Amino acid sequence: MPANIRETKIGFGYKKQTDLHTANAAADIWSLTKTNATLANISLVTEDDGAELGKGHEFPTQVFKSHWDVNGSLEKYVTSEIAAWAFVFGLGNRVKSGTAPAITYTCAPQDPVSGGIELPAFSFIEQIRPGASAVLDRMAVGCVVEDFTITLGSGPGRANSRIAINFVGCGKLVEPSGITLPAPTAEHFLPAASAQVTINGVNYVSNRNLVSLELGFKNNVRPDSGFYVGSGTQDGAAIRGRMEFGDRAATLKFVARFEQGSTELDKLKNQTTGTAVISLQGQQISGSDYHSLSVTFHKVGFSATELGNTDGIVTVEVQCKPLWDTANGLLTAVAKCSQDNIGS
Amino acid sequence: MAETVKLRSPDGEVREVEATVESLSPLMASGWVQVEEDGGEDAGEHS
Repeated sequence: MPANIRETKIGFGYKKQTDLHTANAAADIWSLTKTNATLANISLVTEDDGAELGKGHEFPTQVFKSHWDVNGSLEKYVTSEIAAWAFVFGLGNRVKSGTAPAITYTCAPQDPVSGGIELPAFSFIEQIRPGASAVLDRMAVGCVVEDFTITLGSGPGRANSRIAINFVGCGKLVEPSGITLPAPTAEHFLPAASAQVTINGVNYVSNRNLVSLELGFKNNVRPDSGFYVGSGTQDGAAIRGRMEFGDRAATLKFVARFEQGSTELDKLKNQTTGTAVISLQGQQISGSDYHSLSVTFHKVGFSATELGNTDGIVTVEVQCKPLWDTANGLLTAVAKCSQDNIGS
Repeated sequence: MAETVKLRSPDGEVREVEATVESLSPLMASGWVQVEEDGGEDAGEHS
């Protein structure tokens, strides 16, 4: 029987795995929804002997299993839950505070000296009709966040507050997964309309000029160094034994209405630097606690500006360059939600 | 008064600080990680 892609169920660890090749326990997996229809790309890479000499011709006679490659993406509307997860797993160093039902995760890029260069890993499960009639039921073990991007836009609808997360896996698979996915976690949307945005000394909410904004962080995971002597095998093909970040980078860009007195071009010319703080708020949890996120870039300069128009209104697109601040580092990302033990 | 959390430096010093961006950022940027109440290292940083 054909399967509809909308029958897909996904789940992934909200706690980190104990090690790269040990899957999350079923109790440590949550199920969230996503908006992209793309399934994880789990591929067995092969080689052939076409180029080898001694056969008397150039044609291949055998195919050999080489290694496994796993990658995937989660595209979602921004919620406090997925923001917390992306910050914890995408940045690597997190401090948990608060008590249920209001848990705060304060996250920063992992320090290589105290934390090493391996990222926290999670298991990712995809299922379509799990059980006796399974079309798909697999778990990619040892996945890490390659990058995440939060995009805010103008206009009505949830699509103006989106997050995209790309992940890569070590190649270890469990099929069937053996996991009964929990019911989808109730998520709490963080709308773009709730944003507070101050960048380099300008409050873009009070001046009502912000059109769109995009922030992100990329780990540039080193794919090939994960394969080494003794890194492991899966069905006769190599899998990675470590998932290390490479040259990490943060990104921030935005489009704002450009009017008399706008300072973006001058700040580029003068190389003015300052902080950038982007916050979103959602539903109340209790008392003064709200589902929320806040990303603070401790020092940004403008690396490029370009005048244009958006729907006929003159705008300026600004590429910010997040800089390392000697006191506070690159960035601090905070998310508050009701889910406990993310990244534990 | 903000809630406090315990962090440990790369050299092993443990300090109790307010769980605010202002207090945590400089420490986390210097490699401090959270410790649990029992003194063990928290899941705060992968290692």
